[in-house]
Amino acid sequence: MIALAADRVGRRFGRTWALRDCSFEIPDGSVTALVGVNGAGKSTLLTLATGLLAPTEGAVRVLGTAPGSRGIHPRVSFLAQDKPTHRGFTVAEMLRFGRELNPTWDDEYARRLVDEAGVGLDAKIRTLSGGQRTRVALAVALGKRPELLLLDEPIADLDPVARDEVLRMLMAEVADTGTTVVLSSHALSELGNVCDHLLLLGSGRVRLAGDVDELLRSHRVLVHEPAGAHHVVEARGSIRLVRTEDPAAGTAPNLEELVLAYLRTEDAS
Amino acid sequence: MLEFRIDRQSGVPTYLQIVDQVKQALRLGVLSPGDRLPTAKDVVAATAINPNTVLKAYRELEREGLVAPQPGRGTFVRKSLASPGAGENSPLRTELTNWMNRARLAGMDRDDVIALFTAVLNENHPVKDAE
Amino acid sequence: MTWLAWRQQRATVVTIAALLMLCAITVLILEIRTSGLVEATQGEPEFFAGYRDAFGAANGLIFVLPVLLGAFVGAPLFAREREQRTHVLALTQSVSRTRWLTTKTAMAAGSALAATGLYQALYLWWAFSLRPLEPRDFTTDARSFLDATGPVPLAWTLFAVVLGAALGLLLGNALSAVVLTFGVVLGLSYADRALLRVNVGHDPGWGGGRWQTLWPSPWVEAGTLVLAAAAIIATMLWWLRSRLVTA
Repeated sequence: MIALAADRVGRRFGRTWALRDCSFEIPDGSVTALVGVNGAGKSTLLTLATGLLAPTEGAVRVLGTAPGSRGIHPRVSFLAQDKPTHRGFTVAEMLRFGRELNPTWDDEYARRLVDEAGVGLDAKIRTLSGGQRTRVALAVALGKRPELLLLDEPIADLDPVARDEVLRMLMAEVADTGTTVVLSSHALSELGNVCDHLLLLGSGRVRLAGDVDELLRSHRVLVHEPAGAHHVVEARGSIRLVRTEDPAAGTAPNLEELVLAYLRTEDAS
Repeated sequence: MLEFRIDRQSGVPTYLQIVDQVKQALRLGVLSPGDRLPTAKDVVAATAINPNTVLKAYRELEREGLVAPQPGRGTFVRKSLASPGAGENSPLRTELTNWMNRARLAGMDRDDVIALFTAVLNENHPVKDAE
Repeated sequence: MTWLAWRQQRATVVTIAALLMLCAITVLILEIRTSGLVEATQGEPEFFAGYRDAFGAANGLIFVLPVLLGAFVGAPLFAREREQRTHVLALTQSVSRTRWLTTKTAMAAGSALAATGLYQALYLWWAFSLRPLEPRDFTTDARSFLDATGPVPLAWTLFAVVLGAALGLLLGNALSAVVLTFGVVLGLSYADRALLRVNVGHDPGWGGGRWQTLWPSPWVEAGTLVLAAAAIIATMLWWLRSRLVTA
């Protein structure tokens, strides 16, 4: 099953293309890291999946259907960048917000998530720490029991402890319900253990996509070794990251090395 | 409950770290046949890793015949790796402790002990080529 | 969705209600004094000269009210959401854009209309107690007096709130939306009163104690404003569906 698919999707704002010719498939039950430098089109891609924006060309399919003008798919939750919440609301009112606006709402579950975050129901959102606010926002997103969870930079503004807490909460949810997660992030070192799929955007195009283990297997780092027939992704002095199926060449890269190599080079593919 | 320590910098794939730590627990007798391994949810709620990684590690352990999943109940230990001499009050362990004490009395510091121990270890248990 | 709209506008509604209460108390005091005076003096005009200014101010407020309501109820309605990006939050729940926009607009327009309507009633109640007097004895401006009692202030309120909401949605900035709404509605209603009617219509005067027909007829004017408000709402819906950039 494919949770999210794009077929030659493009989106233009005025004269500039934020996304161009993007095709990919994100399988059900995966946790996908959406990476790319600022302005690579990550937020645009996530917004297209919500249906708040329509693609200029191509087609997006979310849980098997095209997001229409009627709004977001009922089984999709989206947590926008900066995690907007009503700051004057109490936590209980934020949960009521979720309940009032979603016919499929699991109040008990949402309350439990908030409770696990150690946040009181009567606390005002504006008095919460960044980590607590993120966990309340996630509780609202998860309360409708989504099959697909789209998160735009969920941990960018958090300290290391809060990042760890939020990711653990998220992973427990994945283990529990098998929810498909797509999250955009710059926190490469945190993503390594969390994501099993990667979608790397550069200048609005898909540069790299697939299963993390397979991607790591198909790339090697060569130090002082000639690249030979291997496709060189990036060369920095005598260190080369190459794309190859030959497991004997060089050493295996880690996810961070792999992603950085692709982000630093514009034309590799 | 068994807890896993994941070292992101080690370069060892996460699922292998879990496999190794389960085996270590089996060797030390922390886990014995019939014990239940922590569920994927327990593990990821304690360390932020992908639950699929935990399941992959458990599949690897299952392939090696060390654990077996019981549908709806969890994954259970089938085989122990504990050797009789490794337990807390085993004679071998007591002897080794006594030896360590004598070495200290003889003026050896930690590095000296490790060097001597490793040398004797390598003579008697040469490293196998393929692990 | 109704709960959300109410929760978000609760503070505004309470503020309006408090201000309205203040007006009611003021008018009540004035009414008690003037009605006492009507009884005591049998409506001799010279005793009421001192209340002309107060009555004029009470009348003027009816025409300023739509401007204020447009700027302070209409303009922040969506501008504040866009400032805090909470519109993205609302629009990514299971509620359609149309419903979100119309529920919020309806609640804002409803409370603003109630405010104008209640104030009009208050004003009329005072004017009613002065009925033994000839209107020209307590007010100088016949047209304003007549306009204040009809549908025109209500229509202006609706138009102003909807226009403010639209400007807020488009600009995404509460301060500029408030200022712009204030300016535009004030300008339009001034143009309507001072220029359009002077040039096209005529002052009805007190014509032998009978109200003469106004031009444009209050119903035509109110109808035009309601149509304009409907057109603005349609534009907002179109914009929300096709243009709203959320990133």
